[in-house]
Amino acid sequence: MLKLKTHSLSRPLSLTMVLLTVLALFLVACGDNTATTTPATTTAAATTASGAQITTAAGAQTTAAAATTAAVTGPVVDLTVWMAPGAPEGAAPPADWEAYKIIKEKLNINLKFTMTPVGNDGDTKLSAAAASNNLPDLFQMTNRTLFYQFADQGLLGPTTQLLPSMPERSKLRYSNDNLNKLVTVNGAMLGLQEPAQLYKRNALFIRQDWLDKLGLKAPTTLDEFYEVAKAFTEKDPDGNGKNDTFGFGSFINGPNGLGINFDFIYGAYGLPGLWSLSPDKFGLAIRDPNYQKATEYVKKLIDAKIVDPDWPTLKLDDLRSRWKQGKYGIFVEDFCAAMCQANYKGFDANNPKGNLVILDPPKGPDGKNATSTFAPVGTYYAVSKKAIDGGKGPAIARLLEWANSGEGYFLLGFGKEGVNYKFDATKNIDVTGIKPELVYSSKEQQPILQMKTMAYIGTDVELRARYVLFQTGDGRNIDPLDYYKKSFNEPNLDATAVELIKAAPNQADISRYVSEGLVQFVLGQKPLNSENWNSYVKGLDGLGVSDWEAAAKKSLQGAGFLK
Amino acid sequence: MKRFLGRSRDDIAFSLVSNGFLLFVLIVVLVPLYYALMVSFMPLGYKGNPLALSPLDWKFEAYKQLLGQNTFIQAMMTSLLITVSGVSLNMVLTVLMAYVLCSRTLPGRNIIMTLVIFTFLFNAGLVPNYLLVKNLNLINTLPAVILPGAISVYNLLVMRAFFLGLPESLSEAARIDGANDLYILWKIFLPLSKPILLTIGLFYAVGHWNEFFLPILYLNDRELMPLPVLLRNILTAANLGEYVESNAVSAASQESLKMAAVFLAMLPMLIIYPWIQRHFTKGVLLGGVKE
Repeated sequence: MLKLKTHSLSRPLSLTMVLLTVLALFLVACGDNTATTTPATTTAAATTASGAQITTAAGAQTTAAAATTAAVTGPVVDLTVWMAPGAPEGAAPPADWEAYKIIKEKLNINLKFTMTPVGNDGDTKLSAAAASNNLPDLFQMTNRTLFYQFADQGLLGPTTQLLPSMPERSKLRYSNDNLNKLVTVNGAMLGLQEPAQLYKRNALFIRQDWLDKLGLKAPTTLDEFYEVAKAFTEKDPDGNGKNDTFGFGSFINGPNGLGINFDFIYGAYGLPGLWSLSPDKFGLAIRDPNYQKATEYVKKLIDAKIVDPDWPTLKLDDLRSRWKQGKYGIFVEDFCAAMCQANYKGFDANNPKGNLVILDPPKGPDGKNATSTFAPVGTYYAVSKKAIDGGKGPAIARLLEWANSGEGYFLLGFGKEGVNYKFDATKNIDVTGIKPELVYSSKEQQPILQMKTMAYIGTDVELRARYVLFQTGDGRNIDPLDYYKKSFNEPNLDATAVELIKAAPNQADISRYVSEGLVQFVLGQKPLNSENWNSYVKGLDGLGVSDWEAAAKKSLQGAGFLK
Repeated sequence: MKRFLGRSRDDIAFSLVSNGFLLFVLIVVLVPLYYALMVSFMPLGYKGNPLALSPLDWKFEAYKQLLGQNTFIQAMMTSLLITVSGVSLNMVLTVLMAYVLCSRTLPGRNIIMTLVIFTFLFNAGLVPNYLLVKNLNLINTLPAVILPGAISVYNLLVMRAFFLGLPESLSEAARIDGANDLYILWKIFLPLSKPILLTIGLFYAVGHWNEFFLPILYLNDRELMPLPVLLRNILTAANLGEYVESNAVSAASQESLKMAAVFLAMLPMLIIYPWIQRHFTKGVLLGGVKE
């Protein structure tokens, strides 16, 4: 039998309840003042590179000379800025940060900088803020679908009117019509699209020392590529007497097809990447008959066992550890992941005489070649309509212009001159003689570099500071920038327009269908003949790919990428 | 039935199977934990299997780096603050409300219960919650993380069920002796409810300690971010920076740093659990059954 208690609530209890609740609330409310920042005290050196990658046309120059910003008069403008931090795991800039002071004194801006969470969490935060019409004044975006959603909801302010107020920055960063199309909605520019600075970073690397040892020349065609890779697999190029090397090491890098590490093979048939962007044949590249031929070539490599057979299950880290162990003769890699000192040292230790060089992508039957695709697209900013309506446009332009060159550029990108860095005789960034914990790139200084993305643009000074020369164990000089320049000049297909293509509603299904089908073909689980191939391509229509292609074509035509 | 050492063969078989199964569960739980711990102790450049790492090779560089970092300590303190103040508020409100909802004389008790259960079944969603927090001017303050979950309906119901299970005669006797509600709650109900208080307290504490989504949503200042957010940042930063650009040399690998952060973040709960465990089972069971 269920029995209920029979209390009667007396007044003292009600009163106590209220008092206790108030007490608890008070305790909680005091909380946010107790977490204060104190200077970092780590002694260990920095380990991570910044999460946010900087970008621009290589070699672009900004004025290095300290630009004097004329002091602005009038009331101080409160400006909220949300950006992905330079180092997500690091602390925020301290309250007494030099930049805050200067921005307030010279630009008349009271900057409130918020480091947004990386990835989907950042999008969720922005969405919630947008839903309550609480978007910050200036904010960085990474999700184009969200950008168009905000634009449709009328939450974004026009950015065209900001350009005249920041002439240098506009000239350097916002004058590329193709890039501006990416942030233009119904004819109105609603964002500030930064150019990418370091694109075409991935290259095909080949072991020159192995070529020399076997008396081979670097392959220039797919046929030669096959022969060289075969020799690397079978002729013991490392001379250890074991059959433990592979001509080519790869893995499924990315959600599309066999991934970008196999792109150079499709590039030899003029079809790197997921999309064929030519006006007459626009659509998924897989529909092109040459795609089948390229896939047949991949199968030929795999059948000959000259590709590391673990490729379908390998991850990026595995690939990296294997080329560093000296298992691969040819592989695709980011230039810095291969040739920056911290990354190269593992390879150097295992292969003291190892010599990695960049290989021009081999040519296909029609003489075409491309390592992969590229899009010179960097990060982009949006300005809330609320900020423009509230008259904050000029202040936003002032801040961005200040960060573009001179004082602001160096302060955000490298810290304080004489404290965190100095200039050498050639006006390059130099840190000799500066205490390790004060060097701008140290872990301790992460907080003052959290807004560096707003400044970095890929000047020579910047690149030289980021990619330093070093010596291998046996005394050879390596300049990572030389590798970048070589990688940059390799043929790659411009796929800027692809940025505009929205994901299909069933994107995951399509990607899975395409990838799994290709893997089955190249592994021989399904015979690669015309009949099977045609039914495989036809299967795309069952997934509504034609609709997706039509929508993509329409948006590219709307933006002027396709005629 | 044949017996061995005073136990039937069926008993022995059952005990073997159940112990075997529990051992299996233990291994499934323990191995990843041990793996994480060993990876965090791995010396830089160690290439072998982390599970086979000898204690002689243990290096504590990752812990030194993390604990030497102001951000880590700060995030830990914030998490502690959220947990302590959150649990205090949770317990006060949950106990009071559970007590009140036991009262037959409470006017509109059924309506209140219905409303409470309604919130349990239906959630307003992200945007209305955000708007509420914003309109209360709580954005970018710690109460924004603590107040929305001040009372968990599930915990409230468990506690109310426990209170209902206490002998009615105790409170009646006290009332006849002139005790008021506060006295009855404080002197009679709470001393008898230690298991449920500890259990519910643990539920709340774990929830607050692991709080990730609300801080991401409502807090802007990095100084206010609790440990799970920092942990996530450490993990994603290490994934994003797949290669090290600068020449800075670390005494610990990225993997060690990640795992050390994971381990440090779970350590407090790892310590508290066994301590509260004996009350835990009792509390959950007692709350669910009554005569």
